Amino acid sequence: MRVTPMTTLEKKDIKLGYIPLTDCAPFAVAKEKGFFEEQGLNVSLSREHSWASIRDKVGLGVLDGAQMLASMPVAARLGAAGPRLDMVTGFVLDLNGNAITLSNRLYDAVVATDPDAEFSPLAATQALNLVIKANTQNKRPKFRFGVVFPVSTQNYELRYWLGCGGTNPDTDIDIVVISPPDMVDHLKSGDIDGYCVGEPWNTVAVLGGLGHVVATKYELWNNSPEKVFAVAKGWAEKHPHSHRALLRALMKACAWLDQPENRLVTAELLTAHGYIDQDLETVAMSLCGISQRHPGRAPEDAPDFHVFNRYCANFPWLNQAEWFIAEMYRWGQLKNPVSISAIAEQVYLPELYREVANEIGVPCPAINRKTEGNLTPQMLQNFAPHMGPNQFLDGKRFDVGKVLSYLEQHDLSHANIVELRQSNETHG
Amino acid sequence: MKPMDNTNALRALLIGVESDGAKDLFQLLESLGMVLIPRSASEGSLYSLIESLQPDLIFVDANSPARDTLEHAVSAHRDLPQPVVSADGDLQISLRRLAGDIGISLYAGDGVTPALLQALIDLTISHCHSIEVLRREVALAMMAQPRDVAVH
Repeated sequence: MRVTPMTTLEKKDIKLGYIPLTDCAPFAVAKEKGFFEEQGLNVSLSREHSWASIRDKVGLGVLDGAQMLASMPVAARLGAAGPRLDMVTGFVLDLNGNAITLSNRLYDAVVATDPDAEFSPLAATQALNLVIKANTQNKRPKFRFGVVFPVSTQNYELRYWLGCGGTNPDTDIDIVVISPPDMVDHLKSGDIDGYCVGEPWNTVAVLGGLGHVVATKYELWNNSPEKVFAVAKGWAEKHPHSHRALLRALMKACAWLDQPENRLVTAELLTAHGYIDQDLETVAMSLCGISQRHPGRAPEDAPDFHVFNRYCANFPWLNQAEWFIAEMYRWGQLKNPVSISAIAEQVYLPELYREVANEIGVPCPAINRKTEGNLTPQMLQNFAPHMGPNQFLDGKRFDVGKVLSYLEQHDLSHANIVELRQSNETHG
Repeated sequence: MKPMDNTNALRALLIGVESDGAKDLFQLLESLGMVLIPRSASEGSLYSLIESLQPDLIFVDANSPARDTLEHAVSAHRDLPQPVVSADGDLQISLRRLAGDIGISLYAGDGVTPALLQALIDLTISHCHSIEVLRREVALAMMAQPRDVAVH
């Protein structure tokens, strides 16, 4: 094992930004359980109030690094729906963790249209499409849905889910941006009819009797990346050893966090130390693998609702960055053609992860890209048990090097495939 | 001081920047001829507000939860002010101080030149720092005040 001596750290006093969500747990655990300290780092965690603020402060050097939505550093590199900033990530903090919640009123209309919507996210989005059409015919105002940021995983997940049911998210409904802690109030007031957000804000709505969960991120795309640890590219170049020390600490924190016996302890830590302003019971539910989808009914087992380490969770797969870029083209946030694979390689740094994993003897994938949509739980029992299922709700496959072929399979899309092919000749 | 003729004046929307120090600063900007439009950070109205006002500049509390809504409101319309978060040289340093020390984030339209932007940011920073220095001096003076002397 080869570990960098602490004396070579370029910077020991580090300030990291986070948003008060259940999946800020890796930062909280690394801090409270001494994983940062073990690496010779004195880390202070700064609670931030918006993703834009996190992006700006990392870009300007006010923060050394931060928890970011997995799509954010890629969007920043491309200047998609925001300013152009060079960010990099060598570490995925967690998989899954989000859900789509509908207000009671809209949920009742959806289930009245198709009772299967209660159990099937696909049936739910198809039924919702019929409800939306009836709404339009009756000249009622459009339904409004909340997401947390223009280039958020939640925005792409909500749009993907709506698209699976034939709903055009740009014309058939309105999408507004609301900060996660305000989402439930907006649902309660009737300002919005549904939202896609991270925990604990779905559980809070259901426990409050305000809505129903109709789809989880896991069901939309099994084990897809949610948050990453990102830094400015310039910061990474200036502080290579401190950067690696942070990754080592986070790697150990995430491994600790994925031990089932540590989940309740983590929920206590998040609530007792003020990381999240919610009660222990609410935060513990999803962390302990329990999903409360409907008010007043028995909760369901959802062991992979949050994944922090297993299934090679922390590895920054290049194809997953490419999926986000594909969605930016699909929904018109990106227009100018770029080499999708080259951009992914500039932002997601699997080689850095591999080097750090080798330093501390953590197993690591030998490849940088993998096909998505080809592994079911049944297949995994027979081979590759270390990988998780990776299916999409619509059953599509996203093959390595076939980003454009994947994009072409979607009816609802703003992407100019002909133009994109010229910039992506070798990547079908 | 009477505001200058504001036919071609820059229009700045102020969102959630309500501290006393900020009020003084914005009075100063107004006296230089800028038209200021203060609003609270109510998320629901931000979309229509931005589109109807079409400001040249937006000053927003860097820690406002409405930041992400604002980001969405301007992201689809490139002719609206866009976040200013990267620049060359001195402006980059000033932006860092504005966001980190003063807690204000800035959005600017195409019509605002980098030189004007630099001047505005520097004015903001120097003003907020003088307020802070003054506040510290008053606090020190109060600490030095003998306790048995009643202050009227």
